[in-house]
Amino acid sequence: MPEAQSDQQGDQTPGGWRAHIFRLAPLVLTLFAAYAIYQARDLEIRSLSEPGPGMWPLIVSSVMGISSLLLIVRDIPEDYEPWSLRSARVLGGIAVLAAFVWFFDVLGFVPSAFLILFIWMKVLAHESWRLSLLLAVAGAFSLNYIFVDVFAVPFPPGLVVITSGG
Amino acid sequence: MDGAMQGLEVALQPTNVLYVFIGVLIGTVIGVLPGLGPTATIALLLPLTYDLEPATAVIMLAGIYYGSMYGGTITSVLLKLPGEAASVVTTFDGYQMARQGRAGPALGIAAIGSFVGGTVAVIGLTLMAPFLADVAVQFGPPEFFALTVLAILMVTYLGTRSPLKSLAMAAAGLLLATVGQDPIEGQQRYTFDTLQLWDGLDFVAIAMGLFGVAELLHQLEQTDNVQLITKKVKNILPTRKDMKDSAGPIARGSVVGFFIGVLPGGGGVISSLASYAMEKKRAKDPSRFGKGAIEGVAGPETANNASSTSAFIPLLTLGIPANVVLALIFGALLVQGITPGPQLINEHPDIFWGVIMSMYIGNVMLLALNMPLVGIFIQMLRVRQGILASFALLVTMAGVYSINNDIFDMWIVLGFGVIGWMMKKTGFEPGPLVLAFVLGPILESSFRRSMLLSDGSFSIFVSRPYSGAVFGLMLVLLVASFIGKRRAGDSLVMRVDDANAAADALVGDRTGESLPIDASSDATKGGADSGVVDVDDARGPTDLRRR
Repeated sequence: MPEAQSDQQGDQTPGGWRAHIFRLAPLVLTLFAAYAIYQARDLEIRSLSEPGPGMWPLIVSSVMGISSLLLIVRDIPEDYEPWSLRSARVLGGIAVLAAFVWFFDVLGFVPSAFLILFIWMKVLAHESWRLSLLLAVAGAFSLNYIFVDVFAVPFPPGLVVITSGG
Repeated sequence: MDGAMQGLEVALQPTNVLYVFIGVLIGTVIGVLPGLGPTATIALLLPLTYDLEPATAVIMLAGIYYGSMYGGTITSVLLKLPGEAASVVTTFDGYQMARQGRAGPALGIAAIGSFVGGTVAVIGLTLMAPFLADVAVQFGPPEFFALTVLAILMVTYLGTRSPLKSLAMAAAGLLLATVGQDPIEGQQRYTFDTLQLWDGLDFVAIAMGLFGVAELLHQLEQTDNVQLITKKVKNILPTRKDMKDSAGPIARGSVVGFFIGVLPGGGGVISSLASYAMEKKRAKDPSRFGKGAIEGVAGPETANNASSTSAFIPLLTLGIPANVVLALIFGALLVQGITPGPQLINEHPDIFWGVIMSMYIGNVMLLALNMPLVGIFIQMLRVRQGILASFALLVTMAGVYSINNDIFDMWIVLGFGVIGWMMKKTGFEPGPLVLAFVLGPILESSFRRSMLLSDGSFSIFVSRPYSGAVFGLMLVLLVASFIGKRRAGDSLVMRVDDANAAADALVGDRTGESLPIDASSDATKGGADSGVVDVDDARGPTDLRRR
């Protein structure tokens, strides 16, 4: 985080709300812990001499809540990686993966595997058309063979069912 | 000795020999490829171990772990790019040796040192593990509670940049472990009427998401402009003088690595750092360090291999994983229906001794692989990261589906992959979360059983000798780290960027000489008394965030 390293205590970060944006992460954690504590109350807590199913979740979510609450106050921005345009590529990657899971259910393994390999290599990793196409086709079929025929994994049938009799 | 002989029989079975070979080969390869570390690789390969015998599965995963320690050296020497965190220290002198045209001896001595360190640690493991297992049989819930808390505390304090953040993550891991059936009364907790959550969150899916998918997503943000010093490595066999100079560091590194590896949270980079510090302190001319001293390669490389082997001791004898990689192996055994612990040596001697004995074979294989084949491993650096990542993701997704043949698990992996990426961006480490998630059920049930035994009194944890001793140790560690923090000024943790300064700090020798790598401005932030190193920040001078 070279950008962030220059300011030891966050004193020189941009002013206003942006200087505190890094506190969002512990805030989310605190809210998560608060919700877990609230839910734990619905389970039986009982007493220390006879702890119920809710006792342990209450203890650990309280530890989580207290530590993340302290982090809102004490954490320093040096720990945070700056967001950049390259971060958008990650969002693209997540979208590709989500599409893969959805297509996997609908189309089956081979077409969806081809799509994830091709899009990842061509669009996200900027490989050539020819190499991306070649590797995507070879990868989709060979991994289908390994999982379906060697490991006997019952992939969803989808549009294309390819086995060699396994 | 009967057990050891039985283990040797298991280890020499052709299937197991094959899987040791596959394990150490994969380990070496992923150690070479900077994109994937042992943690991510083991996480990604977990589903593929389901169809294997338990002993075979652990033999392979262990091979990946200590194999990666060998492989990580190659990129440290040739690229100044540690393939895995523990090889950071090797960049100091190994890279300088490569620049002086001595890449061959650097890699050669690292392979020899790793072999010796690994072998010494396996012998130590063979001798020490049964003794510890005998003691641990007497442990009850309070002792297991104490040991589990110690493991989580150590992983929270050691090897992390912010203990408070790690504590929050550990608590989150413990909370996630409560999802599903209550281990004692069977009541559903946090399942939100979702059938797939009744058995709890799948450990493999969480590990694959947080380590595997998150790492691969994070790589999309990184640039990879590294330069290979040389593609040709000559004279891999060290000279007689090299061997003479390295004998002491290798011997000391074996011992240091062994004992540090046994400590929870102590493996990997801390052992190599401690060895480097020791060698520099002992050297007649410490100024040679950082400029291509072969002792600076031999000692740390020996130590990190010794520690990665001895780290199996607490896992196999107490059922407590010393670090995150061991937590993954612990999880692999749980999935196979085997709970590692004091009973393992009696109930599953084939696994206990088979894994230990396979390490002897694995270490010989690694030496045989690394000395002649280093040139081939270097060629692997030509595999581009985008291609590797796309295939790794596909194998991950298909692999996680194969666990339960359920698409729900794929969504869980993707969800935790996104969470893991966000954690990387915001400085939260996944290690404490996953370790706590694995240990959560043990911790909860031992806590509740202890409370039932003591009628709700916490004194049970300090009034029994073993648990009292463990809590006493924890208190000492906490006080020591607090004092260290006060002396250090503002931070308990130092960065690996500053690891050479840290090496000095560990032995109280602050010569103030220039660092061999580009130290960041807060070089002294860690302070003189802290031995804490940010494992995840194991980056060198070029942008090493590819890991």
